[in-house]
Amino acid sequence: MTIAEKLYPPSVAPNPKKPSGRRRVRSRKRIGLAAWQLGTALLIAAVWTLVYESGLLSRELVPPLWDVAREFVTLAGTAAFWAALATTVSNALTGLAAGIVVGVPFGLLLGISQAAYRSAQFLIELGRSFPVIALLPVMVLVLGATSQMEIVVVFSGVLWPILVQTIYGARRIDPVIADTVRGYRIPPLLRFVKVVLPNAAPFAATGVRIAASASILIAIGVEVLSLTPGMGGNLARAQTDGAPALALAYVVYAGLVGLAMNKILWTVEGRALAWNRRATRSEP
Amino acid sequence: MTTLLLPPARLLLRLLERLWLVAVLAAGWWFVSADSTSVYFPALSAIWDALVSGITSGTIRTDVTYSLTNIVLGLVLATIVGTALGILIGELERLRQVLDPFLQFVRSVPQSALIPIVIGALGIGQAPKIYMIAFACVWPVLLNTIDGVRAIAPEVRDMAKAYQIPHSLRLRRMVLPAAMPQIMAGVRVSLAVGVVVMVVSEIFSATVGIGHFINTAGSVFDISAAWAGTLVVGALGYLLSLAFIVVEKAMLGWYFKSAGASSGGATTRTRGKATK
Repeated sequence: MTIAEKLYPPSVAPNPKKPSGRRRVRSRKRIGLAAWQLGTALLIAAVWTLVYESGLLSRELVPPLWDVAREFVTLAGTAAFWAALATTVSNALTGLAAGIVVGVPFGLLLGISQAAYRSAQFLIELGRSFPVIALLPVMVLVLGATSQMEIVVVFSGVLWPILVQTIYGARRIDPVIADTVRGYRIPPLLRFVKVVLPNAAPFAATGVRIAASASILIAIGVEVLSLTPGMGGNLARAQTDGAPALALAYVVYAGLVGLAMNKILWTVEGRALAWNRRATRSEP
Repeated sequence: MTTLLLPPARLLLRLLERLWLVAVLAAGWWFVSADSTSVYFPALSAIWDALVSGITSGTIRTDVTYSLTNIVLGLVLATIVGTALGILIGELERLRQVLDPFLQFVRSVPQSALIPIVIGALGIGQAPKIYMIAFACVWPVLLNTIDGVRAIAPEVRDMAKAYQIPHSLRLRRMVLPAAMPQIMAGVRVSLAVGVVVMVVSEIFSATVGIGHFINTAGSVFDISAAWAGTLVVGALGYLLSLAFIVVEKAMLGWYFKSAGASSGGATTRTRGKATK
């Protein structure tokens, strides 16, 4: 079992299976489902309000839902919010881009060469299990609470999933194909372009998808801790200013950003690797 | 895995092959930084001294014990709750469909964004940190358990139905073992999430813990100690993932042994053998 498989088993990805059936039945079913989901949302809201009213949990933790909703709407109308959102996303994406630029070529290299792979394995295992956020206090001292620092921390976090997945994809070649390549004495360059790259691409893409959601998480984590400008910084400041509803509204936005990021990447990945989708999906 | 079966000379060579790069890098760091005058990048020897004194006379031992307690308790809590809820939701398809959008949303929320809120509301004690770790860790376990339960072959389910296997027996002997590989995969993801939340919660606000150690060292400009603490966190992360592999082997030994259970791993392993 390789490291990639252990950390990111293929089946971790959500399974977009939809029940099939005749259209009318399906649409009626869907309306029923939506009703149930609405009911669940109402139930959650009711429980939340009950908890708030009873004072069971600290009111700082459970502010009135109505306040959160109001802050949520108000935020969308302020330029400062959109600026913070843009800062966070652009920092995360810059770190991600750096991670791709470094991670994919190194991953291919390590995937091709057995000796290089074995030499680097321990280092990769160390890097992968290192919680990058621990670098933060040191990084804040070295680079200050700046976007630059945030990008560096994001980069050091997202590099590993990209690297590990690319290595895994480049190493994992069907034995039959490997034998064929050897049998026909395919030159290394041709083998690289026609066999290794297409093999590694879907795995690298999965790595990028994992890294992309991680990049947002790391960026916000960095901002929360170091009060670097951005959504996380605003969130932490709202909390210390005693505005828990505003802080929660930021949390909801942060969740939406993560969700949107995931959706976009699923779509992009699906389009770019349409030729491979079915093959990778059917993998156990 | 296969290294243990090799003759000693081969084994030594393998070990060398795996370790030389890290050794060279560490040695490089040591010598390059030897006469470093930079405040921010102290000599590795100074970091080492800070580490040793932190362990022998400082607080590192208490800090590590505290952090380890938090993550282990948080992870265990998350695993129990995540598995139980996951089996429930995975078994009831209708419930899963209703809850799906909510689960997708909650797991997209950056857990570190919740830390200021939780600590601000519940205080800087140990219990809020454990809850926080558990809360962050529960989602990967839960979602993976749901997937694992749903992936049970329909034939197996039909069989259980046809023989009228009682509920509790079915859960213990069919559902749980079948979902176990997937549950462990979820726990593995959770472990990484948990370590991050553990460190963040301690950096954010704490009086003890390895994250707190790094943060205080940094804020009093004891950079060597801050680097030392960072290295300790790295070692902690690595050792925890090693410990996880041991646990995983114990829980899933039967699964790894069964041929074709992990086709990807199996092919790479045989390929590795063939080309050496």
